[in-house]
Amino acid sequence: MSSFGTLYVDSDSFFHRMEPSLKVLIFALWSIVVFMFLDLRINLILLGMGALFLFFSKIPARIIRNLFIVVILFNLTNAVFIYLITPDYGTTLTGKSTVLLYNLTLETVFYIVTLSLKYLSLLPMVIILIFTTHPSRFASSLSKLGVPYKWAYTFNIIFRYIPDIQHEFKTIANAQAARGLSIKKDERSLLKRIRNLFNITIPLINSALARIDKVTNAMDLRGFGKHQKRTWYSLTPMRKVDYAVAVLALTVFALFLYFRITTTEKFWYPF
Amino acid sequence: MLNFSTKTVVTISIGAALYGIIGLVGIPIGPNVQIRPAIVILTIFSAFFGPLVGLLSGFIGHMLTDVLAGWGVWWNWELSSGFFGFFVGLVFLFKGFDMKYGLFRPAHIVFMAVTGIIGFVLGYSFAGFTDVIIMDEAPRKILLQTVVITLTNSVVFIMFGLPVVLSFLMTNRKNSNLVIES
Amino acid sequence: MCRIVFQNFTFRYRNLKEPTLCDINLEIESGEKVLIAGQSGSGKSTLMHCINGLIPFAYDGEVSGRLFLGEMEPGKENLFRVSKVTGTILQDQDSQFIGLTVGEDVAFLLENEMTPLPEMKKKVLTCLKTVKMQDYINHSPYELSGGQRQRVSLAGVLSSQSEILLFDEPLANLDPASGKNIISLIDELHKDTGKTIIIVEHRIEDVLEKSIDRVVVLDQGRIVFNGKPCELLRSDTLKKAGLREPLYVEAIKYSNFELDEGHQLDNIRNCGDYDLKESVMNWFEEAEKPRENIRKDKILSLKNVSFAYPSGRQAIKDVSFDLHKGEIVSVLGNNGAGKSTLSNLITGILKPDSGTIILDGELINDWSVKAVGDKIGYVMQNPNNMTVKHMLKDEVTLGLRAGMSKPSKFKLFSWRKKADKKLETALEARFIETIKKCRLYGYRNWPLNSLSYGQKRRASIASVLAREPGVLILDEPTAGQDYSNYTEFMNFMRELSGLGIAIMLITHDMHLALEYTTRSIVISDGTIIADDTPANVFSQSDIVQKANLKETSLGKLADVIGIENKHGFIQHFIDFDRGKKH
Ligand SMILES: Nc1ncnc2c1ncn2[C@@H]1O[C@H](COP(=O)(O)OP(=O)(O)OP(=O)(O)O)[C@@H](O)[C@H]1O
Ligand SMILES: Nc1ncnc2c1ncn2[C@@H]1O[C@H](COP(=O)(O)OP(=O)(O)OP(=O)(O)O)[C@@H](O)[C@H]1O
Ligand SMILES: [Mg+2]
Ligand SMILES: [Mg+2]
Repeated sequence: MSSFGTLYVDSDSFFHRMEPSLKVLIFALWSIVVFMFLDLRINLILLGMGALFLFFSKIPARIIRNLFIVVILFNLTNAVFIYLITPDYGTTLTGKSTVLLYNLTLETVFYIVTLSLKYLSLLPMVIILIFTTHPSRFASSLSKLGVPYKWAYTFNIIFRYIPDIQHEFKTIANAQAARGLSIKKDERSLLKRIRNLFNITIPLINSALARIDKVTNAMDLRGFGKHQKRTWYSLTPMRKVDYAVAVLALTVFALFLYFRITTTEKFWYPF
Repeated sequence: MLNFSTKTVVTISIGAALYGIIGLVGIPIGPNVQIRPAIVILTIFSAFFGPLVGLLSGFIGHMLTDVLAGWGVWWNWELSSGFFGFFVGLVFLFKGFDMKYGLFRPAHIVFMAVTGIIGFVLGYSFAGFTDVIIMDEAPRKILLQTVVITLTNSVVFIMFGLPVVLSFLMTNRKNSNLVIES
Repeated sequence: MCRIVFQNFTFRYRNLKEPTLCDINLEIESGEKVLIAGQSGSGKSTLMHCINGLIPFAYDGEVSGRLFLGEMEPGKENLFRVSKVTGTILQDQDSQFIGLTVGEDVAFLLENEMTPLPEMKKKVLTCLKTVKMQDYINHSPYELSGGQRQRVSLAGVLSSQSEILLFDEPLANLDPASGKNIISLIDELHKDTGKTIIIVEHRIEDVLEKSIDRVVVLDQGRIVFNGKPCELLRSDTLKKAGLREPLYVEAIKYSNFELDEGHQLDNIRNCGDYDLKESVMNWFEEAEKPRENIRKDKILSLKNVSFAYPSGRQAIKDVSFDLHKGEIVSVLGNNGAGKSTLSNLITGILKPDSGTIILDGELINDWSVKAVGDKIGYVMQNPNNMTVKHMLKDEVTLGLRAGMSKPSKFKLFSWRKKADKKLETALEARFIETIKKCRLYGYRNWPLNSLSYGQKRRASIASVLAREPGVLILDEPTAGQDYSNYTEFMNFMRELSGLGIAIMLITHDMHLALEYTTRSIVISDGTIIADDTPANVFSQSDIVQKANLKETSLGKLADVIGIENKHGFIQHFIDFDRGKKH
């Protein structure tokens, strides 16, 4: 985790330079496209595009791999559950039934594969949004999208205090352990461990409550909310490229939309 | 409502950050089941500051947990935390209820218990429903999932969340007319 | 121009019965530089909040009397109008820093004023240059030391047009050299801009190093002194209010020297000019050599301990030392030297990369925090991290109830005997004993969140002490404490050491090290650069410089007066002081 307590990876790429609000827009359009289809072909196209984007984003491969592993593991368990609970769901969707083994049908397998790819194809834009957006630029950019500045500033404060809270949690856990109230395995009674864990939430909440007052004071004293508008130190202007990308993104989205409207079946099953 | 006070902005943010971070912490008590204290945090914040703060802290905070844990963004499940925060925070609207000065009647706690569970039921139903609609998940699998998650979270909420709210109320009640005794 | 005028001003917090500020009458002219001193809990921060408008806008309570800032009455305006004329640096450094980076934090005020971007960038840079922090413009707060953060907050208020600057304990947690820097910085600022400056600080001696126009002393919410520093130093007001006088002033007073109008004690350099010199010389008799401290049994021993943070920073390098029963050791060093890291290693919170830590003959390298915690009490730097419970009493007895400490008296303790009244009385007795020692007896039925910062600090110490540990590690226990609390507390530490407890104190207070500790371990950049008696440490100027330490004003007085034997002089002062106190 970076010193900003976010996952931002400092680097210089096309996506790092891109206006954050634009990234939010693309992310939203991308998600809608994923939601609209249950179509293996579309998901493969998206994953292909995503791979290309990720390549250009210069995010370390290690990070991307870890994220994919998490989602693949999720997909595997999900697949098992779907098979155990509704082994005939593929048949429900397609009306066909091609038995492979016992109660496992080709239709269900195909459904599970498509669904897994659907989950996977959400991933690339999420990764890009999270890892290439500097938190300071994020809030100011939101305000440019028309989000009221007080709402946008929420993200600044969140990013500012995440590391503090993480650090505080560790310190409190240690301070309490030093007084005999441990939340680790060295407290053998599970019940006590749970109780100690809930005990830790109390100082955390207390210090959060105190922090709310102090931060509010510090912000008020420096005139936050004084005017209807405010300027942003970390704001970067929209560039020509950004406009071009926006237009391109909207066009591609329109194509997908057109394709969805003209096809009747949501679930694509070729056999 | 669109024009928050500084305090509301700060409260939502710090609530979200806290809920988000604590969401990462849990003690495993069985395969794939964890006791997570985050619910307590959201309960307290909602009771202190009301439904709006509960809604936004819950939603943004949960999003943060998912992102930091490497899950990506699952807005429909994250919104379920917002539902819970909103409902459990409704108690704030009663005149006779005030966390800061420890004002409450037992009925308020019952009200919280009921609205909290309603919040879970609605929130997870919504999440499950949208998963079926937009992600094309298998409905029966999702139904089972939502029932289990609603039950476990309700238990943690009743067993740990409400008692902590009570303890805050009791102590803040004592926090008046203080004198230095000799 | 903006005069500050309090007229019969009284304020009571909503949840307190008694007012915290009583009948304040005070005028501060524009352009004055004023120090506000007073015991912990005397109402200094409260007074500041009245000026910057947080009272009544952020804190509930009852106000009577009047307060003017120039023409304006803060209570009748809104907070923004008030904050236009006042800039505040709050007591709490963490919450003060709002931006994600140094540049953003300094810009925060300008952003809210809707300053156009190019102008804003320029102004931010100018302000940062004033405090010499321009190289850190893109750093996050976690990459800064305490002193650097202090500078950034200063830059943050510089960007405003406000005529009044309020500093609430700007020196807390700073090492002496950084503290001195900040004070000079404030002084330059005052000279360059002519703003009104009000400083609240416990380290009176450090503030007085640069000229101050006026000192106001608060005692239990009332003004007990309001005048020039030299006047204050001549009188015995500070002592009466339970505050520490600058050491050299104390020494001069011990010599029974008759002080009159002509003596400008606020500058130490003036002290050599009078027959004062002779008086002090007469008082000074070569003190006997400091008693060799009798080394008792080793209790804790570190051998070649090294540690690096995951970030790669080698915070502790090859550290070895022993701690003996009944010894009080001070750990000194600049901000960021590795003192807190070292205590985290000893208490098992961090695990050393190499080397051994031996407690009572047992290797404890791999012990859990909890296991070490049974033997070593640890009081952390920030009291808020330590308190779990709402009420003082529950907090102090919590560790005992956990049943882990099992001190001999409580052998019977078990969950089955929970209802045992004897146990409750024993707990109660222990509680009362502990909080009396920590001077919190009057607050025994208070919730922790209504205590002042210094009081909270003592509460966290009480909760550790109640467990009767064999070794005690305290991270800056006296920061933000006033003199009488400090003296009492340190005498209490001495009592504890008499019982055989080994105590390790991390501190930035040089005189504390001299007066109360038998040995000083000096850390710089992760290595021990000296391990000797405090007096010997302070006489090595290279060590003093390397670790950002500072000679106390007694040493300087000795210089000014021309006493060769500085050690002897300081030792004589300490012995005399101790004799006086008992
Ligand atoms: N928010 C609050 N609510 C209730 N009481 C308070 C509050 N803040 C301070 N007090 C009380 O007012 C008294 C004065 O507090 P204040 O913070 O002004 O002290 P201080 O002189 O700044 O002390 P310190 O040197 O420890 O910071 C204390 O006894 C404290 O208990
Ligand atoms: N969690 C951490 N990760 C990386 N580096 C750290 C961490 N904590 C501290 N450091 C670094 O290690 C060094 C020693 O820090 P430490 O907190 O021990 O200093 P200290 O002597 O206690 O200072 P102070 O007097 O300001 O409390 C510092 O340079 C600091 O930046
Ligand atoms: Mg104060
Ligand atoms: Mg430290």
